[in-house]
Amino acid sequence: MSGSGSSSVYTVIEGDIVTEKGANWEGSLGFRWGENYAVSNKHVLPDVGARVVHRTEPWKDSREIGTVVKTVKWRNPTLWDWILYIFTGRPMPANKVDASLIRLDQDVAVQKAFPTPSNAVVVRRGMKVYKRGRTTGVTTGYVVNDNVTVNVDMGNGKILVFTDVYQMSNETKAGDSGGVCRTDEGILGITFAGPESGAYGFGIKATNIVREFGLEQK
Amino acid sequence: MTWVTELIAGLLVAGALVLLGLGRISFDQALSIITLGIGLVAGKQMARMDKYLERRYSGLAVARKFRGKVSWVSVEEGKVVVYVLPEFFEAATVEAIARYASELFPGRSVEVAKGERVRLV
Repeated sequence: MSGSGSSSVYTVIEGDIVTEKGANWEGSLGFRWGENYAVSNKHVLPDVGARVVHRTEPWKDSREIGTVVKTVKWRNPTLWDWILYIFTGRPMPANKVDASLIRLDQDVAVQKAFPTPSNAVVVRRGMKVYKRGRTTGVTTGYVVNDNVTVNVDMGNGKILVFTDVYQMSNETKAGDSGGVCRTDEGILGITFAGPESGAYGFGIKATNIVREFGLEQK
Repeated sequence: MTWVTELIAGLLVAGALVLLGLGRISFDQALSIITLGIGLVAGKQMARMDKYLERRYSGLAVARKFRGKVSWVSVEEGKVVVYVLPEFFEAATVEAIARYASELFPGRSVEVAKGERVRLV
């Protein structure tokens, strides 16, 4: 993990450990967007206005690097969705994005984890995936499927449906959430879920994140 | 053949306008023909939209209907794979899921496989 602060600029790398200040969980930093922004998962950084801290090692000293400025809302079906479902059979809405936007402090710079372009690319099956996260570090794999709908077990019998996500062959374990996924042509997205075995994982598409937050595509 | 519908629609609209200009048909008749042309193009676009929605929502429909049993649904070009939680991977459930998915994905092969419980990481 990084975290160099020799000069006046504190440098972190995509995939480094991040969490909210005072939180008892850890996740990973996603991709940077422009000079001032970066993303991670909503379930890693759930609260708008919260300070984001960076750690060089799990559960060690932390340093504040920015503030959560936007996050998504989990989508639950409304009454109208139920009516359409009953009368027309239209499936109820699902979540596409699990992400929060971080505005980086002025003295913080985010380095790319892999030397690939900074644009969000359309995910296609078979693409190479370079992933970096807190727990598994750097892994290389490929996109197993680019159009997956997944029932994510949130515990206590609650299930959230995520649609239009991708499945990758990279090893994925708890703590990797939010970590960057890149391919040779640019940014694929961020890690967000995985099976108990940790043998593979699921990611949120960068194109959907960019659209959700109204970021300008490069 | 991609633009045949638009071509026919264009001819209808142009023909209606010409005939209206020549005074061979009334305004209401011309309007009906123009509406027919517009309807043809709209119908084509709706069919496209329908195709898009089918691909977009069918996976979601399967995942929602069997939400306690299905782990994830992967939709590929000619194939759909429904991954079922190991504890529900038995003949009756597999058959019910396969039947439902086949209805939603006509023309694609449907496979039901054993999956795993997925959690946020």
